[in-house]
Amino acid sequence: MKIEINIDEAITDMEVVVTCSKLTPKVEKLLAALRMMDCQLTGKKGDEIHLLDISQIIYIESMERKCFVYTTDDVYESDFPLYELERQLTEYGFFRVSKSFLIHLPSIQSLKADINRRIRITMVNGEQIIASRQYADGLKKRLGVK
Amino acid sequence: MEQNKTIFDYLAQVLTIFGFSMLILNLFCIIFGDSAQGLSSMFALGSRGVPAEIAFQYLVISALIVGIRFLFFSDRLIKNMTIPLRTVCMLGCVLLITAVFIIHFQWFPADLWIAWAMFFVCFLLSFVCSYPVMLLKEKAENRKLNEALDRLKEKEASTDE
Repeated sequence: MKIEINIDEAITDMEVVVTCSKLTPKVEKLLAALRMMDCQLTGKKGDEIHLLDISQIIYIESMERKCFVYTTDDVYESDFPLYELERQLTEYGFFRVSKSFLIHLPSIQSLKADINRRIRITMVNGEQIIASRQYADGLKKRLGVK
Repeated sequence: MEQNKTIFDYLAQVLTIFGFSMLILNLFCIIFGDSAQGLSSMFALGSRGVPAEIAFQYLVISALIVGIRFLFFSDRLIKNMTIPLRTVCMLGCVLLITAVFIIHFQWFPADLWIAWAMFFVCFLLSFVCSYPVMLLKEKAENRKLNEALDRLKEKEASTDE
């Protein structure tokens, strides 16, 4: 893969041009990573590829080696594994609350202490997610209560 | 990340319950021991203290209480149950096991209704005292969590602007 960088002080908006013979999964992954830098995430729904604004995402669930991105209205599949999404999205207010869930902290509606030092999280869409004991302490630290 | 509990954590819980109940029982022995000497195996030594076999019985019941607590207040065995129902089930089991110990080890005569009445009153009283404390603690923790969440949301909103 040839990488060309042109530095010009006169340019105000950065532009990335990808030139390829066809849209392979490798190219799609590259585009998805670039979009993530622009606060966007690529999500698949059927045969369609959708561009999701990161602020629209409520939570991401990993299930049977697949990652599903939940917005208020829809569910999309992501090509990235959960650990990769966690690495990329932490700076945008996302937090890992269990082995399978990565949640968008501003999309939390309420929190409730549960048994065994877990935390029951109610998201803005009404969905309830449990922060496991292993991750609940980290969540408390992130919220500044520990 | 928090580490998982070890056998020593449970042992510490058993010894805490055991130590606390021994302290209370020894106080009862000092106060009522001589007058209740012939009535209960717990006061067989009068005001001199708790007999060794009673101490072992209390150690066993302390271990059983920790076991029951583990059963109802961890999700290892019971996954979906509300906290109030877990509390009720746990208290029911503790009450049942204590009653079995009372009858089997003759902590007091099984046909003495006033002793049973006092036992249930004491049990109910300790529940009435501890349950609101537990509820208040839970409410305070929830409030703290949600206030921290609101602060985080405000912070996120101000950085977005």
